[in-house]
Amino acid sequence: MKRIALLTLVFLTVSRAQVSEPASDSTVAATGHAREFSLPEIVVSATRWGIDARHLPSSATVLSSVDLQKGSGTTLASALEGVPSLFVKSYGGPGAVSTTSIRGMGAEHTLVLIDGQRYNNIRDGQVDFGIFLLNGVDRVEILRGGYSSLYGSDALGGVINIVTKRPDGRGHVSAEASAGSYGMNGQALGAEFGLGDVGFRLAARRESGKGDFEFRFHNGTGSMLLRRSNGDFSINQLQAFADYSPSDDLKINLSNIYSSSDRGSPGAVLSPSTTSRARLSDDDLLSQLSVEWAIDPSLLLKVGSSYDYEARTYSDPGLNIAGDALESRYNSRTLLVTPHLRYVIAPAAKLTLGAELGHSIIWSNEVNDAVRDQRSVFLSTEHLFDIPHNFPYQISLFSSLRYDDFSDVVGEVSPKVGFNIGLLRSPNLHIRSSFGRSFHAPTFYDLYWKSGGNPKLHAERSTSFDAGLLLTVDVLGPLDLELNYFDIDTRDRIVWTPRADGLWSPKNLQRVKSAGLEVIAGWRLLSDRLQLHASYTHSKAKKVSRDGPNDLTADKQLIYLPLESASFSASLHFPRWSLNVVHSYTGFRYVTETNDPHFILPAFQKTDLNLLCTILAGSVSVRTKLEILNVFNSDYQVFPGFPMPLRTYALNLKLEY
Amino acid sequence: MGLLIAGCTSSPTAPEPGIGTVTTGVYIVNEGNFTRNNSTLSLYLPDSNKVYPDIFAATNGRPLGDVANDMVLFGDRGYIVVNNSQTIEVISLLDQKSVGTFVVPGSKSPYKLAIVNSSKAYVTNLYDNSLTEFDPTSLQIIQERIVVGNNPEGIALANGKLYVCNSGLGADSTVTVVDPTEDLAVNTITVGRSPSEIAADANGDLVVKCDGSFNFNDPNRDTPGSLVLLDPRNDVVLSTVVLPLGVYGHPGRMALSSKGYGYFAGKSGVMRFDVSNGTITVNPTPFVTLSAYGLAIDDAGNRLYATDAKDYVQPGDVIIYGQNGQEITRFQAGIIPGTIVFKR
Repeated sequence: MKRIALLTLVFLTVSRAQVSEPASDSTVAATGHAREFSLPEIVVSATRWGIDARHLPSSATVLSSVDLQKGSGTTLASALEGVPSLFVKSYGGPGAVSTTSIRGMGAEHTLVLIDGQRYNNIRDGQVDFGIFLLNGVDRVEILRGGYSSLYGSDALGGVINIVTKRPDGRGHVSAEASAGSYGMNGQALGAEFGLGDVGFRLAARRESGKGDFEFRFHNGTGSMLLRRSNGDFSINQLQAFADYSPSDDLKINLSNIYSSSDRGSPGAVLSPSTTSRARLSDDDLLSQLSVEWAIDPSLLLKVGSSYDYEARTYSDPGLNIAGDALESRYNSRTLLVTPHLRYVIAPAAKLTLGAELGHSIIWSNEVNDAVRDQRSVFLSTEHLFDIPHNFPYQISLFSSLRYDDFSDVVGEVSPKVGFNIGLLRSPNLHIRSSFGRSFHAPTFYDLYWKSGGNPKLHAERSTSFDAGLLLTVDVLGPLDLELNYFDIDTRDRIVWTPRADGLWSPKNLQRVKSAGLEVIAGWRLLSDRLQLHASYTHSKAKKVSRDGPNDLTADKQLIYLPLESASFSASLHFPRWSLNVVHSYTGFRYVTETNDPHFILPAFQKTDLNLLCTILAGSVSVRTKLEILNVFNSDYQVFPGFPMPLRTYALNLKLEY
Repeated sequence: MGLLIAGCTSSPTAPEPGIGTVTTGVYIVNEGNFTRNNSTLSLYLPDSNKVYPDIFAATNGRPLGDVANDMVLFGDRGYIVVNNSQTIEVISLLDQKSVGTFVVPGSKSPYKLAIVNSSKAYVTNLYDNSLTEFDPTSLQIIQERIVVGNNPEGIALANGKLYVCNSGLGADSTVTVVDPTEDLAVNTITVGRSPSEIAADANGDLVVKCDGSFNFNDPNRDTPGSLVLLDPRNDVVLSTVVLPLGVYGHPGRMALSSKGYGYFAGKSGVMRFDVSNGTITVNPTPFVTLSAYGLAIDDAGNRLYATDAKDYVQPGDVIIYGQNGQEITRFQAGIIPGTIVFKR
């Protein structure tokens, strides 16, 4: 830990400087560059239309297609590890349920978008990244900070926008196979082709594994090597995309993603005899249709729409309730339409006006049948002033305002303002700040759970402030440094507590404050052959409300969230191969709300590496990837009782024609 | 671990390290939070008014486990049922040192324990509809599954037989009678809805506390709880007192004295009931207004021990009341203090 912090400080003290011009703004989405976390980068989701990350009022990370390829693992959960200020909360090894926490907030406080359209499940407000395969993902944008003023509910900690791969216009086919430790294996087929003005991309992938990895069980006085049971998983995914562009002014995209998974649910290992026969199965069909029409050069219309059907079944034949084995079934579907219009008043002044209409429904044996209709409007502006001198040389101003109306909970108004000032061209220095309100509407679980849901809940509300600076200097190569301070004050946080009748029920109770510091550095050396990245986050997420005069949980760190985390990665590139190493550190975490030092999850460090080799033979490319995860056999848990795998290996072979 | 005193009168003080031999004391089993492995065992010494907040870990160098639900004293040993760890931890009552661990096979969710003699003990398995029998001396398993009713909770020994409450978590209404000499269910008695606790009174009769059931679609159709008096000699119901929901809510935990009375936790406080002449009489006025979680009666001192689990995430309190409901003292225990047993 100290070693990484020291490295970051060394970066900050470098003073050698040279001009590094930022890329110009763009009103259309651009594909990712072959850089890791480095600036400048176009971020589509920050404004809904695309903007240079250097001009943003708050912090963002972009994982480009190359970054994703260089990473280890096959799911979004593994790809997101190491992203600054983002904590991946995994309940085990491959295939296990995994959610995220951004800036010390809960899993339900990260808004997840797929191609700009909301994807969070209406059931619990979360997305399981452990079964979200990277196949078909072109890039991932991670926005830190509150974004309800643009996207509505759930965007308290940040936004993850998953941008899918689109047909690139050249016909090709690919086949992929992988094998690894503990029965892991995967197969994938893909094809892209064009018919007239329509481009198609079809893909299928299957990932499975036994999940019977070894881990150390600690009983307090010693440890023993055990093997995980009932951790098998099988994930299948089918994708079909069609892009139709009859003219330069009109684009129509249709996508369908169907994923199905069946997993053992091994549960917490709390004794050597723990066994489980529980299973979790998920089906998800997501269909999206989007139309982009440049009505004239200054007027752009985009209509996004999505239909998402999700079904989840949790069954446990070992858990009898009144003579029947437990089986919980949830079905939900959400229909969303998001028309929005951008008016380019002048190159330096842009206005977006949009609406979002949604209809969600759930039916379940655990949750009362429920329907939610949503009607939202939003308005945002961007101003960019170029100033003809060197200090400052550029000012960007942002404002956005959104109103969300729901049929079953009170509506919310979410404003946000921000600025970004280019102070120096050389070295390139920007300062920025944003301030706004966000909210998280209660989920169907919170409102309608049969044995304790509370229909009187209202939204959790937060105010978020962040401020930071961006510095780019040339020290043997471009060195990007980013320093951010953030503060998220959340009121009326929903907490489940026992009622007088003994049942547990949620209430709008707590006030939680999450504040911290992020230090992010990226350095490209040797003509981009060597890329280094380091980040350090110190985040205090505390319950600040008091439930009584002697409330021992007040001013205490929230459970399971680390105060400190850091990562360091190095990528060495040559024309046909690359070596990628990621080392991460996660600080200790409290297990009790009173922060009892006797019950903590210890800090851990983990190192992953992979070797990627690509050979071209005529029109055929052969890509081989060897991964070693947890190289040094780190024995760790993200949640108590849920061991993570010791060292694992995987080999992946991909042929493309 | 620091000790917070939420004091009234004569607050106990934190003891110095090193407890020595304990001859009398009160054990408080603190459940802790599900899957967090933070159950603890507190030891209160009334004579010196001292509390040892996590005596098991302090003595044995390891945590007690995950969700400790019950404790039974037998001879010079204490048997602690650690539900989600699937274990029964056994300690010496003299020095609190572990003398062994009985691991319940599989993930049956052991819940409540009854010890028949030095070679027979039975634990109810909440989600396995069974009892597991083991030798409490050697800690060897005798019989993994003795089938009983749905979701067995409380268990008591009376008239040489075991009586097991089948709550069905609200769906069952029976008590299974098990003959420990044959290890077989020999009878089933219908009582009120969702029987969860059972205890023998001074006359050898059994008081069964039934929780009633919840109707999650329509709370107006909940069924009320009840107290049922059983005659274990003839395995028949002697009398039943229905506890109206409007007055008592769904009853919480129960404690029974050997002196013909008991308490249960109601929605407006701790309610007292009396057992005599084959009937149970409930006083509708709360004995104390505490929203209690665990209850126990110290017959020797005529004291009621009640626990306040507070918000279920911070350490709860144990409050000791005198015969007239006056608070004598209180002290802090662990997270979710549930079971209290007395070593005399």
